[in-house]
Amino acid sequence: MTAFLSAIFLVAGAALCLLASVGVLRLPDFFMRMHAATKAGVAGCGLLLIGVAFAYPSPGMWIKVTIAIAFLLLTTPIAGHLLARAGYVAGVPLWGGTLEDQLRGELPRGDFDSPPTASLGRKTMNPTIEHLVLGLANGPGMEAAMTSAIELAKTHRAELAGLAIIDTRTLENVGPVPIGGNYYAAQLRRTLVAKARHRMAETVQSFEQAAQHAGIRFSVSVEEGDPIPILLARLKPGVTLVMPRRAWFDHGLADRKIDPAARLARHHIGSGKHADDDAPLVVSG
Amino acid sequence: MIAGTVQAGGVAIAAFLLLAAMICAGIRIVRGPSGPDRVVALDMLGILGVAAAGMAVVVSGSTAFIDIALGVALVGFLAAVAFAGFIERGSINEEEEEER
Repeated sequence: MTAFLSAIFLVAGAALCLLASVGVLRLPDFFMRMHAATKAGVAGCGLLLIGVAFAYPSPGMWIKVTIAIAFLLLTTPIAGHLLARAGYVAGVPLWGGTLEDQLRGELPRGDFDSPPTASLGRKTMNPTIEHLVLGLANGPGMEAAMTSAIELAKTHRAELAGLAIIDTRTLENVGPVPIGGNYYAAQLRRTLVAKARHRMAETVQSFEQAAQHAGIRFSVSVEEGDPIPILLARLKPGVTLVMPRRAWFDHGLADRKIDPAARLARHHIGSGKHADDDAPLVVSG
Repeated sequence: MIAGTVQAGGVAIAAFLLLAAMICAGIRIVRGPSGPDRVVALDMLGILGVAAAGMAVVVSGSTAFIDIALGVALVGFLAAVAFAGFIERGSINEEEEEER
């Protein structure tokens, strides 16, 4: 009988321990992970120890197991509470979906792993542009975007980062392929991407010349892939993005016209307002 | 006979579940992303260590391992408390530290 009980308790305890660990691994923020580790962890460990006591039942064993469980029940909540308090005071970020922070104002809360320039206080005091990103795309409006970005960089003394992207997602979409046409479709994709690289290189070159001529700090980076996630990754608070109004990262090679403002607005970058003039798009992160 | 088989099977299953749990906690320690996350995963690993010491009693048949379980629980608690103090003090920036 005790063997059955022992097996049941051992498996149940180990399963709860696994559940707690999966919680530690999968839950989205520090506080939730801590709650999984302490609650389910203690329950699982306690059940497992009871299973051990059933496997070797003797008064001494039961006493030791009881002491161990009592000790776990006493100390783990304290440790969890201390860790949560320390994490909160240190400023470990809460999960994005958190609705209410009841400790706000009760405990001091630091800034965790974020550079002081990015903090809100300084930004409201001194609303300058700290980082400028210029989208480099070959097409109409690029010259205007380049000059206005260089002007902005000069006035704010910001570093101008040229970001050239090849929109392989659009360029590799060559439309429906007839049976037997896969080879030609692949060739078409390769030619298009190669052409796009060529045109992008021209734009990068003219940007480098213009920036050197203006005497500002600048850098150039080249990326290939879907431009939206790349732009989203760059567009942090304090970053301002300048884009030509009529040129997209297909560098004029896609078979349909792409409206950058509309494309960006669909992914909640910028306001998406339609303007008829060729003034460059300016988006703040 | 049956009882022995059931217990051996239960021990084997429990051992595998504990191993999986330890791997999960280990992944969280490696992945972070912040120090406190790692400390919580370490705390979890400590609790799993207590459970593993309990398993050692059943597997080896030596009841002395239950004392080790007690000891691991004690040390794990102390480690968590020490890390909590470290995290809390580590967050205070240097200007405030000088004022104290």
